[in-house]
Amino acid sequence: MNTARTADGSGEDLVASIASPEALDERLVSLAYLGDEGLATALFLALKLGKPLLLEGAAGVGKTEAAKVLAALLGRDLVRLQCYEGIDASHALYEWNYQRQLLAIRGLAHETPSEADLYSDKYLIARPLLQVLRAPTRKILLIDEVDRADDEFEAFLLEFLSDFTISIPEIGTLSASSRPVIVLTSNRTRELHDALRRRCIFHWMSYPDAEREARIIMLRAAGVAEATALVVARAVLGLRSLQLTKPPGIAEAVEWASAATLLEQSEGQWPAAFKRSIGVAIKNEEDMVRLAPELDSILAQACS
Amino acid sequence: MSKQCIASHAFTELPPGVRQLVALAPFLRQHGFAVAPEQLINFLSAAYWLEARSMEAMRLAGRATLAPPPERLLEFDRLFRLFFSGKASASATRAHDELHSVAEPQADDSVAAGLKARELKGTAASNAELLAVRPMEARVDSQLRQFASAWVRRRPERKGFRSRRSKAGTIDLRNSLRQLSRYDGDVLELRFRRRQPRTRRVLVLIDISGSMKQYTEEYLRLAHTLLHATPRVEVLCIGTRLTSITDTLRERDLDSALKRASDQVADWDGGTRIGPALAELLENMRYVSFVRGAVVLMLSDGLEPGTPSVLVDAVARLARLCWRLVWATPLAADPQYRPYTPAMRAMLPHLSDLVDGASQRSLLSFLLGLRRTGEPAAVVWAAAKQ
Repeated sequence: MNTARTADGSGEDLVASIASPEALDERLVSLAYLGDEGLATALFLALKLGKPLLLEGAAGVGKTEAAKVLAALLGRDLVRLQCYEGIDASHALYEWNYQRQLLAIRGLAHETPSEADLYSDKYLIARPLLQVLRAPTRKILLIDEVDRADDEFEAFLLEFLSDFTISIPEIGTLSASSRPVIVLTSNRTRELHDALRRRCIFHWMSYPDAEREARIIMLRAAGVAEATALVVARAVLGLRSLQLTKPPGIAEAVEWASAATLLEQSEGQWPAAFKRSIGVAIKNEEDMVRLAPELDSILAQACS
Repeated sequence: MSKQCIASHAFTELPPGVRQLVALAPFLRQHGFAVAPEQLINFLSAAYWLEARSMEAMRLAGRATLAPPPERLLEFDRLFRLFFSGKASASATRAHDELHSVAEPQADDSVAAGLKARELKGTAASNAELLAVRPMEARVDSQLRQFASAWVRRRPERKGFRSRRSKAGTIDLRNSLRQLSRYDGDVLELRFRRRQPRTRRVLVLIDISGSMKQYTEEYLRLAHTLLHATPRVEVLCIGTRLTSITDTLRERDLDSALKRASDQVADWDGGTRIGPALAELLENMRYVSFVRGAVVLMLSDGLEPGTPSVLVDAVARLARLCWRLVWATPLAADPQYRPYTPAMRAMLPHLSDLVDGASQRSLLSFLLGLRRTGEPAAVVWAAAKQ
């Protein structure tokens, strides 16, 4: 594969060599990621304009996967920062390794250690943002589920995303040698601040249509027949329209298709195989109760 | 690069093609999309990179750079096409009307009108299913805006289960020790944790039957305000059926949110079946878990045809689930009002509050006082009897 070559830091050339969203889309397909044209355009613009890309959408539509594929495509390492409630700068930026610093002072015994020695890279624990800032051509940053973090952290990110600099009081201000590729994802459990949306290239990811989902299922799960994939894709579409707490994502659809295929091989009955393996797709007791009366009609519709 | 300084030129000096792209921004703003200058620059740069190959590519670029809210993507697409097909520049307002006439469902006008006439003649709380689409007007309401900013500070809370760092509370041993190691054990600086308050969920139930007609719009505006000032809110319309309009109201622009809500709900100003609708709500486990520990705000006159047993049972269950069940009825504006209808009398023991829902001012000030728990409604109204 031609992308593997670029691991030595020529990622910039690779970005430059992508001429159009269509070309980018082709490469995504070659890496077994089927996105829509909107995603290809957004990714293309994010790379060309050097802006962070904000992907929003329901859980399980492939936001994180898109970032992983982008990393593979550019031949760069993916550095992932998972956001959670209460995340703060020391988890995202850097921290000093106090224990090592103290040990170093004791080791020196009678000499007075100079400050420059103690606050050197050796004692700096680089967290994701700093890691990417130092090697923007070799790494891409994924800030996952920004909507889980607090408002304060969002404001803090804003600063980082506009200047790509980090200031460390003991060392000074570090800035990226080139614009790093950054992908942010959000499940939209709360609305992000407008300022953050403005800074980013934005793409709203919706669930794929039945046909593309069937193709994704066949790509991801070997041994699933085309007819099965299509039935699962249609059934999953029906399930999502039911306003469930946890509508099945693409990963669930893939698992459901493989589970049903396995059961069918041992028993040889189609609708029953789908029904018995529903637990793979629906993982919430309340949803199961809500779904039970309608499952048969959804399956019948999907099979027809 | 040239693409960066495009925006700094005077508008008239721009080449005509670019001028048209720039003019898209004010056009979109006129229709309630917030387009920042920064985003416009991104859009122009996108045109440079995509070499403006096709309208379709530019539309996708517009979506990516101008970031329209997801629930208005289709509207954005329509506006985009309208703008570049050339019709829009002549009359932006006409374009707006055109857009909304496209958005409205093709209801059979004569049937709707007929039903409407019947409804006006008949009793208010009838069971006639009216499929009328209601024209909504929105006006800027300073009272609501003030309420929103006050509400953010005074909305009901509960103690969260997870603790977070704070200035006082219980000692955070892990963090304190970490701090201690930083100074090699010399300086002991205690850190604390405390359970942080969480805002309670709010469920707004709006009765949209014919008898509540004059209030529904005001209630929708209130629901919209609450939705945008509270982390977790669910808004349901109760008519002849139960409709969730939460996602529709999520749109920040009040005007178009109300318009879309009025298109979405099919049974405006029809009859009421509050009881069955509430029972339907309680069958849906999603809503049941939402209601647990929440504030339930019922905006209805409580006029239910037929036997009230279904309604009373549902209300009793709802009251057991939620933290506080507030019933606001416009009828209570009358000082002579007493909850004497059979349904109301049976429900009264279950209600936390039964308040006046006719005057916005009193309803809003009541909501701001929600944190204080007062006497249950039954006690308050028993006192009022004497």
